[in-house]
Amino acid sequence: MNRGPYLFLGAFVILAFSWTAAILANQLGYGAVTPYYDDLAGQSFPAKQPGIVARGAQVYTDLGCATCHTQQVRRADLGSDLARGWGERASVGRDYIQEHTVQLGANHIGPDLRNVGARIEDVNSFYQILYSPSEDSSMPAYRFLFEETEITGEVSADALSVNSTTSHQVVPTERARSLVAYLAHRNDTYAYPETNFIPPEPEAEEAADAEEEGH
Amino acid sequence: MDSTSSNTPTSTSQPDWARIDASVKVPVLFFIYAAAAWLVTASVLGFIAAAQLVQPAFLADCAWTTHGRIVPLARNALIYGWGFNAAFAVMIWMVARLCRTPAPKWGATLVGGLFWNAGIKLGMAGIIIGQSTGHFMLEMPAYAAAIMFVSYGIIGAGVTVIFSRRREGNMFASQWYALTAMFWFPWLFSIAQYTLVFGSLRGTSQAIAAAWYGHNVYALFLGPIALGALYYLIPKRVGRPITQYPLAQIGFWSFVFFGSFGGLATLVGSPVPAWVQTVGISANFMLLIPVFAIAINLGVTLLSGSKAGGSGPALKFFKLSVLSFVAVGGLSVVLSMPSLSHTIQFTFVGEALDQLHWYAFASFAFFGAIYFMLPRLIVRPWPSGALVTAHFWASVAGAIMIIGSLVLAGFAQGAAINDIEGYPAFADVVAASSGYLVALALGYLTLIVGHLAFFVNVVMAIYQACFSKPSDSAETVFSAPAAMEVNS
Ligand code: HEC
Repeated sequence: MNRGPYLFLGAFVILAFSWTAAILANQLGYGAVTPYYDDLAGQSFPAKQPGIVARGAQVYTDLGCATCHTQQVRRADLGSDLARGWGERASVGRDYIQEHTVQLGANHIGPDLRNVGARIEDVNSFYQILYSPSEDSSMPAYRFLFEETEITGEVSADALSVNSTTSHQVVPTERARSLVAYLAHRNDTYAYPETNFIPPEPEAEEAADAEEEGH
Repeated sequence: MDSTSSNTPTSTSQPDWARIDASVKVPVLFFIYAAAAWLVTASVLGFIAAAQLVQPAFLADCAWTTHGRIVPLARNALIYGWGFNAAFAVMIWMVARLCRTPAPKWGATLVGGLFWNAGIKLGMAGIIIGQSTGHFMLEMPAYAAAIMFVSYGIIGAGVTVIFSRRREGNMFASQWYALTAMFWFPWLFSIAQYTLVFGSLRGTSQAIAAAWYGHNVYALFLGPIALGALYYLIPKRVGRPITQYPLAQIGFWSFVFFGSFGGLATLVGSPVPAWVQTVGISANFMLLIPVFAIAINLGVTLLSGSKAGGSGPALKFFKLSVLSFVAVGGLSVVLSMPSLSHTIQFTFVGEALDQLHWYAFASFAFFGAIYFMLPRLIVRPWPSGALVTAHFWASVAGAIMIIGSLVLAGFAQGAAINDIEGYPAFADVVAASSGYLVALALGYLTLIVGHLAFFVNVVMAIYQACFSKPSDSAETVFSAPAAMEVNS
């Protein structure tokens, strides 16, 4: 341990090994994952993201929505995600392969959004949540994604219904529109072959029983 | 000489410490100053982020200060601003001393330091205006990262020059940590930038790379430098050699090896291959080996030294730092047990562990090192003892409040999320943890007080060093080898 060269050789080997195992092996593994072509539906899943959705993903990323929201649904034995209705199935790697910047997130300060597009169908609700989220949540309002304009002549077609008055209207900006398109597109309901696995049910139930008895 | 025969960094012939210290004075003081300034910035940003969790409307009307941007700003200021600058200061000074070699007259280190800090500022400005890359700990846009990479190279080259001219061939544990860390970071950073920011990774392998990089900034850079400082300074401070020094080698190699995989444990339950998660959990478990070895080396040395009556702010910070290091190792294993992780995964508990790792372990080690090092560089005592005391107690109180409230908030949040009948609406879940988040914000306010005290003391010290002559007594206290260094 007293010779520089041995130290640096050891250091190099460790980092190289760690990188090969953690990054390279996964990259090679993922390289083999492709969209799944469904003969019946005549299209591939996950589908390519339309341009507006990709732009919305950028808005989601640069506003840091992922500090409060995850986008990953865990198996039933690992958490209550499915029970809370955050998805019909656990997320799998294939769900993400069309995304430029994957935003898994790490804290449930707000609900998981991986399937929010399946939960909330009316785009106006999305605008509403962004413009004035519920009072007793910690989600900040994103007023700067909207423009408040005086009504001259016709009311704009996409003015928010609730917050507009007779003289003023609240109109989403281009960024708000793409962000909402992105949110509406969060919908991983398609079942891939690998999502049909059976989770280790009996064990999970036992654990749940044990927990109930504990209380 | 074999490694076991030299278990303290000092040997019988005392080199001229004062000359070595003087040779690194300018860049090291600059890094300490920059670190302290970033530390204040980071705690202010941390306070804003915590306050926004309590009061979402706070600074919400402007895109620049929205919560989702303040959080990465606070993290970047803390890690790259405070952490790296402090690490540079410790690394340069420690390597020069351990190699018993004065640094060559080379202004480039200072230039590298200026550019490093300019790079962070530019990167943070990028995040503010919406150019975040969206990858954890790599949020700063590529142009800023490029500046940081080059300036790191300049700073690292300076350290390499010192190392290559070393007069002491025998390498002490501190050097293993400091020098390997210095070589690891540029690899980590460039691999992560190349694969993530320039976008060649697909799908959730991005998340794996980000977890790997983010954790390794702790495990292979900041953590090792903090440990290096502890190995170097604890024996000096307590006046005893490292207990069971041969364990240090086992500690070092197992820490860096298993540590380099620890980040993968954060991906449990995520849509990544199952073996990735298993590797992460096993690595955290295996990390108990180095934690144990290092705890014996450092902890037992500290305990036996307390009887010998060592004291002072440096030693107090070192004790807490070692304690937190052991706590991180233990908690990472305990909290990854399925019965607990079922509740606390994706809650504030994750951030609590980060803060314990990063603030209570690494930052406290840096604080202690700076308390030891700065008087020797300026050949004067710290300007204000009261500010030292204020800094110590406010940091300790702030750390306890922040980590404690994050843990409590996380458990409340996780339990509420899993209890669907009790907390059907998400607003109920939010309410379950909101009380603790008030304590979190107060914890950050406490930290601001402590960090301001530290910053003011640093500024006064540097001011004195530039504009007044040291007294003769300071000369003997802070540069006479006998009083400063411990022989054993
Ligand atoms: C400070 C944390 C925080 C941030 C940042 C945040 N949210 Fe939220 N979000 C929440 C919380 C908490 C809720 C739950 C509100 C409720 O149900 O009362 C929520 C709810 C939502 C919902 C409704 C989900 C549902 O199932 O009803 C959507 C959609 C949403 N957020 C989108 C976003 C987007 C898009 C961003 C970024 C522009 C964002 N959020 C940023 C905390 C946050």
